Order: sequence, then C-alpha cells, then structure tokens
Amino acid sequence: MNQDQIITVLYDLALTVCGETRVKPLLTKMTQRLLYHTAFPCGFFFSCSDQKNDSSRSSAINTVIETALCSRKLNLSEGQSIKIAHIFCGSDSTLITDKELIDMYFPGNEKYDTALILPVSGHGSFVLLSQTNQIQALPLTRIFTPILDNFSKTLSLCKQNEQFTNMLEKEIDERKKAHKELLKAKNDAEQANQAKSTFLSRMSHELRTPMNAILGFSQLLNLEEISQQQHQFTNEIIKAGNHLLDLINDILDLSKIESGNINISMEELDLNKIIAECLPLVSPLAKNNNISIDNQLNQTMDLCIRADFTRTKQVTLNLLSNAIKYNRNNGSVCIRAEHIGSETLRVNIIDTGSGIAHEDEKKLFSPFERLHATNTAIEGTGIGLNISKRLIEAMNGQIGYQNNPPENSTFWFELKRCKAPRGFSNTTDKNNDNAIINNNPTHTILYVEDNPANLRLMERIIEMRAGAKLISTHTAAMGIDMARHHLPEIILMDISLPDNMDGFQALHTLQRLPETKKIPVIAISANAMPREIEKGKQAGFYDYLAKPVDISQLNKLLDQLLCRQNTIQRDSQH
Amino acid sequence: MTKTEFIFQDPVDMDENRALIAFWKTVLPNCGVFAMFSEIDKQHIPALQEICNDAQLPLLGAIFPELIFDRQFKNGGVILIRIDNMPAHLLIESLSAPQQNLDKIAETFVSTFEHQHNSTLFMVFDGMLPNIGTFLDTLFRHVTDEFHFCGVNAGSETFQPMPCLFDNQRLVGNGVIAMQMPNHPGAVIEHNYSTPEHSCIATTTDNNRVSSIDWQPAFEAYAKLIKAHYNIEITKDNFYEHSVHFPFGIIRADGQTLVRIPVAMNDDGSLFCVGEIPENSLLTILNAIQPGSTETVDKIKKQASIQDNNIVLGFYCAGRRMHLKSTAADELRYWQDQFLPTSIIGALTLGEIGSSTQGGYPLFHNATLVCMPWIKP
Repeated sequence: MNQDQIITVLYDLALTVCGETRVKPLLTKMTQRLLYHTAFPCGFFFSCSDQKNDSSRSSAINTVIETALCSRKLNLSEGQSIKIAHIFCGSDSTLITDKELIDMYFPGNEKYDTALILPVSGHGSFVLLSQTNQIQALPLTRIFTPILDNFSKTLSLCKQNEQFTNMLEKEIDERKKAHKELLKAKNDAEQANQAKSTFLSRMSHELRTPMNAILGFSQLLNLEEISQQQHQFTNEIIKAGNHLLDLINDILDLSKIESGNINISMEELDLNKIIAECLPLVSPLAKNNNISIDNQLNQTMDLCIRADFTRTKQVTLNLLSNAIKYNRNNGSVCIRAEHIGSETLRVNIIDTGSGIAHEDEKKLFSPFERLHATNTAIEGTGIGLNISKRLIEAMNGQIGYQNNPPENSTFWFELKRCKAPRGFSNTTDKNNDNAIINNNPTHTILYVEDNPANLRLMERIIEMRAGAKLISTHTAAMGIDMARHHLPEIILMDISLPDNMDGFQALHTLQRLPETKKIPVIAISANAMPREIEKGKQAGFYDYLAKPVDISQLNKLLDQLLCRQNTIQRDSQH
Repeated sequence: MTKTEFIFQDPVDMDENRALIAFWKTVLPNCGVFAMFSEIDKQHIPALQEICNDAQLPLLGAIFPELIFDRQFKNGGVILIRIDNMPAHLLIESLSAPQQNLDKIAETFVSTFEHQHNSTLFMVFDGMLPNIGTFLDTLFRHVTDEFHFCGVNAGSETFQPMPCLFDNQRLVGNGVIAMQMPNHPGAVIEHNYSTPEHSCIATTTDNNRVSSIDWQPAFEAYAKLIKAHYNIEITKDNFYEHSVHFPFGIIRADGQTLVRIPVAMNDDGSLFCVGEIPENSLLTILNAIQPGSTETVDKIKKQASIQDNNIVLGFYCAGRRMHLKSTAADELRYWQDQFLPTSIIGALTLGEIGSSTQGGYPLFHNATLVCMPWIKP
C-alpha cells in the first residue's frame, strides 16, 4: 500500500472510533473495522489480568475476552477467562503463523493458521485469526501502529467515562428507586386516606339513620303532656343526640376536606354579621358555663372580608365554643378584630382559660388531638381546630394561637379584606305561610320508607298535624302504585330503598306518569353529603331533607306546600 | 450432472418446465428449484410458482436484467437449476423498512443456518435496497466466519423499484433470499480496477446518496476531480456517458478497493451510487479497467476451484458491462473459454457480494465478476 492509502485506512479507523464514548461498542466497532480492512475472518480483544516476564514459548498468562467477533467455530465469548501464550501479549504488533501454537491456545472446531496480534498499550490486544496462511498480511503489523497508539488513549478515556457514567447511572437509579418508593408510599397513603374517608362517610350515614329515630321521637315526646322530670330526661336525650350529630357532622367535614370535596364559595362578607349570627348560638353554652362574652368589634372599623360565609361562621363558632369550654369558671371571652397591613383582617378570640403548655402548641391543630382534655368532662372530638385550620387555609387565610401569660390565650384567624364593602341586606324570613293549616280538609301524605322506626316517627309527626293523613309503604314500586291510586298532595321519599329501585328511580317514574307528575316529592335521606343533596334537587325533588329530620323544618315545608295546594284549589274553584 | 440438472429457455415454455419439474420430483423427491428470470420474461413467475407448488417442490428465485448462457448475455428467457437436496433457505421482506431491526434479521440467519464445515451462504438482494452494506456488517457481527459469503443483487437495469425476489408463494422487493450451500468453497470475486493515489472525502452522505464531496456539491467536486486527474470534462448532460467509467473507490488496508458506480444525479448535484458510502469516507476516483483486458478473468481462474463436469454460476456486473460496452461480451466469451468444459450460467447483476479471502468479511461490490462453482447441495 502506498502512503496515501495507509492514511486513508487510518482515517477510516479514526472515524470509526471517534465519537464513541462506551467501552464495549468501541471495542466491537474497532474489531469489526480491523477485520474489514485486513480480511481476517474473526477476531477478539483481550485484556491481561496478570503479567509474567517468562516469555518462553509455552508460558501463558491469564486474560479476559472483552469483545469477540468469533463464530461458533471458536466458541469464545465476552467475559470469558482464557490463558494465552505470552507471545500473544507482547508490546509490538506481530504476525504468528505457528499453527501448533495457535491451535494450542485456540482449540476451536476448525484450526486457524495465522494470527495477527495488534497490541493496545496498557489495555490488551486485538487478535485477528485466519484459517488460511496470510503471510502477505505482514505489512499490516506496521500500518495500524499510529492508530493503535491513539486508540489506547481513546480506550482509557472511554473507561473513565464509563466509570463516571456508571456512577451517575447508579445514583440516578437509586434516586429513581427512592422516588418510585415515595410515590408508592404517597399513593398508598392517599388510597388509605380515601378508604378512611369513604368509611367515615358510610359510618356517618349508618349513624344518622338511628339518630333520626332517637331525636325525632324525643322531640315528639317533648310535645306530649309529660312530667317536668320526663321533660328533663327527653331534653338530655335531645342534647346528647345533638352532640352526637355534631360529632358526626365534624367527622363528615373532615372526610370531605381530606377527599378534596369541600366547596368554598368566596364572597364579600361583613364580620359583624357573622359574629351576630354566632353569638346567639353560643350564648346558652356560655350561660351554662358562667362565661361572659364581650364583643369588642369596633363598629367604625372596616370589617369587610372575602370568605365563605358558612365556613367562616363554622370556624368562628368552633373557636368561640372552645374559648367557652376550656375557660375557667366565671371567666370571659373577648372578640376583637385588627387590620394586619392593608389587606388582612385578624379576628382574635381571647379567653381567660389556663392557656396551652408551650410544648403542646404545635399539636394544637393536629386532628384527634385533645391535648389534656381527653379525660375531662369537656365534650369534643379533637378535630374541630384541624377542620378550622383547613377551612381557613382553603379560604387563603391563616389561623394560629398565641399564649398571653399569665392567664389567658388567644386563638386568631386572618382573612383577606375587601376593598369595597357593600351593604348586606337582612335575611329576614319573608315566609308568611308558616301557620299550621288545621282547618283544611284532610290532606294525604305518602311516605315511602323501609325503616320501621323512621316510619313510626313520621306517623307521629303527621298525627300531630290536624287535617293530615299519612299513608305509607316500604318499596318504591309500591309507592308508585299508591301514588297513582291515592293521588296524595305530597310524597315523602326515602332514597335508599329495597328491591332494586331507589328514590331517584321512583321519582323519575312519578315524573313521567301524567297523574303523579305534579305531586311534589320531598327526599328524606341519611345521606347528607352536599353532592347528594344537589343531585337530588337537580333530579326534581321539591326539597331534600337530611336525617335526623328536623321536625320543625319538616312541618314548615309541609305547611308551605299544603298552603300552596289550598291556594291552587281555591283559585280553581273561583 | 445430467443434462436435466439445469435448463435455459428462450422463449419460456411452461409446459416443458412442468414436465421437467415433475421428472425432477420423481427422481429426486427432496430436490428444489433455483430460478433466474430475465426481466422481460418475469410474467411467467406465477406459472412457475404454480408448477412447483403442484409438484410440491421448494422454489427460490430472482429477476435479473439479463441472463448469461452459452458465452452470451441473453436479454430474455429463464434458467432453472435443480438443487438435489434443498438446503436451509429463507426469503426476508422489508429489509430496509424504518422500523426493521437488522440484528433480529441476522439472528434469524443464525437460527436458520447451522454451522457446517466449509459451507457457503449464497444471497440474492433486491438491488434497490439502500442498506445492503449495513446489513452485511450486522450479519458479520453475528456469524463472522461460519460461512463463505457470496451474493448478487437482482432487479431492473433501469434502477426502477420492482419486486424481484420470489419463493413458492411470494414475489417481493426490498428483501433478500439466502440459501446455505454445504461443502462449498465459496465464490471468487474480482474487478481489477486500479486505484490512483489521490483521494477525497465524502463529506455528506445518506446511505447510497452522496450530497457533498470535500464540502462542495458532489457533482461539482466529482467533475473537478475527473478533469484534474483524467482531463475529461463532465457536465450534467454527459454525466451518464462518463460516470460508469470513473467510479468511486473505497480503500481497504489489505489492498482491495470497493467500487461504487455513480448511476444517477439529482438536480441538487447529489449523486446516487450502487451501494452505501459511509459519511466521511475517504474516496478515490478509480481508473476503470481497459477494454480488452483479460486480467480479471485470469485472476479468477487462478483462484477458482472448478471441478470437471460442474456448472459454474457466473455473475457479471451491469455497471461493468456499461463501462466495457461491446467488449464486455468479449470478456464473457474469454471467461467461458477459460473454464471449458464447464458451462458458465448466470446473470447480469446490480451489485455483488463476496470477500477477498475465503470466509472473510462480506463486502458489497460493484463492477465485478463473480464465479461460484455449482456443487450439488
């Protein structure tokens, strides 16, 4: 070969290896390219694992095959350890045509006659084998020397790069694994949380159903002519029942918050209005505990906030009731407000209780944490403050606690102020049709309910209404039949009913029948989730009452409907 | 070998073929058929498939621009060769499909063809495949020296895509047929083009398309090199007249050079070759063989191991014939005369595959003569 051609070959080999950064592909590419250029049919690259100075013909050293392009004839594979004659491991390129020697170290299925050894300084050697005597390949021992010197450097860089890459990959793998585990833990926790919320929601439904009977009959009993002591007893039952209902509502609230189902409706509110609605509600409790409430809201101060009315009232009530419950005898609760900067309003509820120990402060807003109240007579679930915190945060506000030694403590919450306060109209009850209609002719009310206790309760409620008659059945199908036959003025419909037809399906059928489609249907269900109530109203229920039924609310609704019926009748007679 | 061991027909007579194939089946129940059709008679392939299916004989075959028989190039007809014991064989389609995994195809070769002492892997590719060289590199990584590699490219001399490979059921393009020939010494392949000392770099390539040489539009650089070294003006108008005489050469360390004939030119000045040119390859512009030279055949004769009474499969590159023009027929006649009494039968091809040493690296060539003894499998 002339000089140009040699340069051409070296250039081709340089191109083959340039840009390769991984050891194995580099060695494979180089081996293949050497075979291409030399026309030797097979070859491999080995690295020496030990060195011996004995260079006699029979001495051998241990080597490891790094890459092999050899057929089934030779049975050499990558990673294989073999002994190779010292002569194959010299520092100079060599052409070996000693068939016996080659066969001694490479005893394949077929014999190889020629071996071209191309050492790579500091790493090992390429060995190219041929079955035909290739003495004419002798010049090849010189041609590749420049490229093999450079190849040695490239191989060193690739090995360093691979070490570094392996280290990085290992780190990335570990991080990925940790991330995967974290993700799994998060998903497991979310699933567990979801399961807990579902469980709580179901339990709440199951608890509300018997509570309907307990509270309902207690209210009815209170309307009877009973002794004063019996009144006290029923009042205790109602009080305990209401407390239990509060607990259920709290648990429901928490489960809704945790499942992300809470609805926040932000609007411009007057704090005065919220406090005004809260005070009557906590006054009986304050009175019972000999606590005075001092509303120190400055009426000249701008008390307009942007928040959800119901949720803000809920938080305020929670803080006020806590301030009363955890106060000292003859203590006081003070309500104050202050501006924090131009955009925030802070509401402080200050009590004269014994305060919270410093080490307990961080637990205050944790769920089910009652600190030292667990074994006291003070009622509570320990989730009120946690709910308050989540509600305030959902309204983009903050809530906190501040110890004011020696003998009082402050719970506060902050909400965003409104820039342009608006007037708030009084929500006076404009319903003037709430007089019980006693003198009207008999009205028929149909109640579809499968729980006997609830049915008995409703029978007693309706019995106490003059001029009203209750008919009932326990399945939706029978309810539809009775509605068509008796044409009641009002239908009260439980939602969860037996025999594969629920209250929604029954309503749908009633709405399609010409004779029943105008009869108002009121849903009465222990499923008091807002989503269900909304769904019920959208489906066409006139109203959706939650169990336990508030008897006065029910009576009010019945009065309203029956009054409307009377008006329609009168109008039609005229 | 009896006279019925192969047949050349022009015109094609399928009745005669039906009778012959039925006879082959009777005397050699395990035999198969290798068929070479001239492009102009390719319409007879379905009939041959039907005949072989009726006789329950395996069939492999390909379409070539022309056939070689009786010392001549034949532009019509068919050659049917009996394979006494049909060896392992396959037909693979869609070799250049974008999603095709060449390693998987190479593994199919490894599982289909067992390692036998001294066997040849005979392959026929669709000449329009753009990745034959890449596939051969891949195949070599998997089988290295288990086989002697030998092959040719089929198709149309117009370089228009055409289904050109077939078996009993399929007639497809863009693929390869392969057959393992046991106890076979491989083929001899020679072009004898001489290599000058100048070189250039194929700076932008895409498979068999060269877009720039020495960072200039490929055609412009190619024309300058030919002017500088051979003092011939090449223009876009006379490109086709001259390009076949000045092919590219890719140099190897063992002194062999791979020929790449530019066969088409695009409006943007890029050149299409038969066979891939890796990007940044160092190229030379070869000096094609002189008309009337007998050296190529002499070299082949020296290397070929031809036994008496055998036929030889002889393949002649279409590009070489375009270069030698009418003297190609002289070379063919000289080739046949040197091998008498053995008959050379074969075809005009669009690229050839072989190695410079027995069992060596499979290389994709242009402009060669391929001499493959037909030893009964």
